Amino acid sequence: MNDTPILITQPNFDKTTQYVSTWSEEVEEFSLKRGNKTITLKGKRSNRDEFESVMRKTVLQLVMLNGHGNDNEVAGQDNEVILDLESAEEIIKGKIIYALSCSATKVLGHSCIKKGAVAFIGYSEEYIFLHSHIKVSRPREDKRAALFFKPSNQIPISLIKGNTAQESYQDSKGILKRVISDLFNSETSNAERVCLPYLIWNYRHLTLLGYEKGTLTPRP
Amino acid sequence: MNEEIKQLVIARLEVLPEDTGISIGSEGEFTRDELIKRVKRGDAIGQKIMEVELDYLKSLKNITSEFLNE
Repeated sequence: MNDTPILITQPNFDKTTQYVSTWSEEVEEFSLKRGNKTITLKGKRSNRDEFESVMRKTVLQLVMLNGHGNDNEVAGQDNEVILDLESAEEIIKGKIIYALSCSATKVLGHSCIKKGAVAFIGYSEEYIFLHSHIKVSRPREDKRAALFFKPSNQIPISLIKGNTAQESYQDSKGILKRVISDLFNSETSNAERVCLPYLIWNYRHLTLLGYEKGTLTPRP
Repeated sequence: MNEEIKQLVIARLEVLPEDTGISIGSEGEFTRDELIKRVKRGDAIGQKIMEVELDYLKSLKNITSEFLNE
């Protein structure tokens, strides 16, 4: 058992949160396979009280936030804000946070670093993804969405493997680069190639703040 | 000029497969046809899509060195 406890928020109340949360189950499964204590706040449990309680009571090292957000905050279920500029230092300190959320590195990420987060990885603009309406009930079978979420999931997966924040960030960008490069291939279908502007947009706005050499440290 | 760019972006959106959904963070979830309407209307969502598409088109000349030379 590695004992590098992680927390994943999984709100689920619209198509966007349905997709991001369902795809984050890939990270959850990977973490569990590695023997990590893996806490998920699914649906209604993704609220501020539960989030702060887990952040306070558990010695977490990695927090993956899935949900809507803006420069100053990240939300959980039904857009209830769970992390913002008012969040207490004690719940943020010592953690590596990955926010799959819009614009969180603009202001919120810097605030978290000032409050002692080891690193904060997220996006400096809107996170945009494409999917297929036909696959809405089975997001993980949606090949178009996979082009977006596989590279995104690589950040927490790489951290769980023991890589530094910088290496995990680069791993994700490397996979995105490969996906983008493959889409330029002439054999790629139009249904996939239309994703290019949005993949490149996310690539350009993926941002790492804080201590680049920060890692999850297995405890004895 | 702005109208020409708008028409270019609309033409690009028209080739999106009909089953495409686009999620733009907290702004919500849009179909291809809704996005085309937003671009035509020129509202905040339409402007954002124009920004993303234009960013892509402008970067095309550098994309070979950035993404394909590895």
